[in-house]
Amino acid sequence: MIHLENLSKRFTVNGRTTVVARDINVTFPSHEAIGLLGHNGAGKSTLLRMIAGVVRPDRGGVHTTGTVSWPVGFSGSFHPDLTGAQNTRFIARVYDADADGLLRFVEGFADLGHHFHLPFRNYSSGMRSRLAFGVSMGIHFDTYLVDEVTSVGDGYFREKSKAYFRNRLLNSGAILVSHSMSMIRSICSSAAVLHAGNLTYYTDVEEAIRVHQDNMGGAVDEDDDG
Amino acid sequence: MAEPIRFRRHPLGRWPGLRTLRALILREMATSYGRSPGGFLWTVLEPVGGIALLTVIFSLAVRVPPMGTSFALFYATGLLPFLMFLDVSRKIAQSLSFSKQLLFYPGVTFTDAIFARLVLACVVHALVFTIVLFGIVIYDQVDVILDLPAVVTAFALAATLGLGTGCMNCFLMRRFPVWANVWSIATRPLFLLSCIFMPFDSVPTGFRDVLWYNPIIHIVGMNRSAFYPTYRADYVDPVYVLLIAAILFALGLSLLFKWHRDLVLR
Repeated sequence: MIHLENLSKRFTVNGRTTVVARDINVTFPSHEAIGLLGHNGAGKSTLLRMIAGVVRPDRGGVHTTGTVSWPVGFSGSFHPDLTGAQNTRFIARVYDADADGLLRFVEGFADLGHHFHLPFRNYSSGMRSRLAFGVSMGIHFDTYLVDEVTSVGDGYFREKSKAYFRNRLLNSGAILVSHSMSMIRSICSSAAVLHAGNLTYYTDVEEAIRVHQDNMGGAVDEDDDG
Repeated sequence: MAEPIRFRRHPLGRWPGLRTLRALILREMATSYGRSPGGFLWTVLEPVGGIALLTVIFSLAVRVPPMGTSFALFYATGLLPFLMFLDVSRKIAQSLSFSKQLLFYPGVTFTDAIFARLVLACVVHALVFTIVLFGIVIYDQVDVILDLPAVVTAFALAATLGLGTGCMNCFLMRRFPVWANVWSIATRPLFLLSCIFMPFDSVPTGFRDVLWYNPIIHIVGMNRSAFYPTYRADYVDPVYVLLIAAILFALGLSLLFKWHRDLVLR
């Protein structure tokens, strides 16, 4: 269970203020795959980071039961000077998981070949997301926070990550940010919409998607092929 | 389908800090000393080069060093703690930008990043101290009656002052990027003002009273008194150094606590 209590967060950059959260009170049930919808810049990634505990809210707090992953996305979380293997080892050490086991899993899952032992800064964006997703899928969390990562890569890899992700969802919950409505429909059992600092939780995915598309000004968001 | 790996313990359970510290130190060793060939060697060669240069220049100009018989030992006892202070403060000031990607993990906090760098820098400099001083003692065949507690104190003071200065600079440099330039210009004369190639006691009296407020001369003086039993270094006040370090550390850390999440995102 993840409970957001009076959560407020705003950013001021160069005198312009963006409101991410305005007194949000929402409870996400455990063992549920929840889609997080919102237009670009609504603050979905920041909200995920607050849930993970990486970004501090201005006011209010996040209460979680069970373990929560770091926000899995294809940017930011790996050190460019370390190889994929060294980055994996680092995460294993931080989370106290079996490093050799995790290395074997990621090597098999991400399919990076010899790049696994080359510095991360030379990776293509597809390789970055393979590594990021592979490492997080290799560790058990009670809630996975996933930021848009499942929609990158070639078709084969996307099918494979979807299959693994579904398998993890048998035992765990997830909060998934995606602009792909078909991805949300196929994986999530409920959804929440973040709009102008307000977060609303819907047990019906279709209803959430309808609200989201109304917020977008009726723009059709089905251009993806997921 | 392969099963995910379970934690051995709850990831944020007992001593998460120590485990993260270990992971960060291992990471740091791979990146800062593994990138250029002979990474650690350069850390040793930097003070050796400086000491050799001073030794050659001053042994041509004057007949005997200000203390003892070995030019190299005199400069080394001043230069080593000075360079250590500079290196520790610089390493810690850069710790946020250096570990930016890793602060993405909820288990890793910026204090872990700072202390990992501190621990590693201390180990490296302890090695440099030992290697360089042993080398000089053997090469110059000096008889040294070493006051080990005083050496360790000087070393610890240099580390503490580096930590305090580093924390403060870490905040200032990220909040006001121009501070990095100001600091590098402002610390240039420190080399001349830290009593590295002349003892504090031979500085003219009027100037000496001002110079006393430079905390580095206390560290250098303490270190020299450990190597030269006849050198009393009455002016040294470790409490003053600790006070300066503690103020800088407390101020820098509390500012970082308030700002670091936003600073990292900058």
